[in-house]
Amino acid sequence: MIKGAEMIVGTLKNTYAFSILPEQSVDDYKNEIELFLKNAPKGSILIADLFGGTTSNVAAALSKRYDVLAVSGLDMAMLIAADELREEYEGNELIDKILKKSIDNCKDLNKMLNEMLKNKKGMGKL
Amino acid sequence: MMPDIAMVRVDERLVHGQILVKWIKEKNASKVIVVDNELREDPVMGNFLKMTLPQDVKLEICDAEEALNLLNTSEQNDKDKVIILVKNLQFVKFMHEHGAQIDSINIGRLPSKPGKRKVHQNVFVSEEDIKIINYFREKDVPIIIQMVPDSLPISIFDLI
Repeated sequence: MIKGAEMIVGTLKNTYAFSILPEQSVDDYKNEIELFLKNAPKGSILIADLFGGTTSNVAAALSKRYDVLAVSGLDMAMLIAADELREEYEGNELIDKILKKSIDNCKDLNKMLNEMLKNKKGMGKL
Repeated sequence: MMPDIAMVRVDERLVHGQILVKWIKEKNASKVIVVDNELREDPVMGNFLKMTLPQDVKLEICDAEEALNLLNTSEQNDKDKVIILVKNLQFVKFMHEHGAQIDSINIGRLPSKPGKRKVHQNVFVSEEDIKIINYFREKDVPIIIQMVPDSLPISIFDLI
């Protein structure tokens, strides 16, 4: 995911990925992230994938103990938005903006194309 | 009427994606009982987990004795279909010894730890686990490794 985003926006600085390995216990996984958080700046963002999944549960548990922001629903739009918007915003405002970017990125492409064709918008020159 | 135990799942992740997305639907469960002492002492995480479940599914977080009480002294007409989630086999043995109606046991993921040996992908067991597995073998209670409903069920008795 990071590599994919970097193809679009260039190197993502201070961005790290933690995967839970098939054999790894949740506690070990949590400890691995925790070691990192001890030296991470305040307001760092934990982005987990599936809400209710293990990464999201771990992020929630860690956000209770460290001064970090935690969200779920990781996708590339969210990752890129987090990288860009954290230069400008912080705290709840930052999270609101990141979530909005991610939601805005979800589109029904067929519907968009069909509506364009119906309105003949897609037929003429731009 | 006692609640129907639809599934007893041993998986150290307890409530997680595979339970939420797959097993609750597969078992048509209306209640999840998590047996875990650590989580029982952490009401914030407990309430957080409640929010991850579908709205019509109830969640109880308790220790093994409380779980037994929940299963044995239910109200009349308790029609709940229950998924019981535990981190290790010890809890399941305790509950079985104390009269819980456990017809089969599902194993999801038991991670690696020093002193454990691998018996299957994502399943590592200790000497104590093996004793408990043999206890259930003698009692004719199947123990099945199965991550999600679509994956091939494998009897742990064939691996030990």
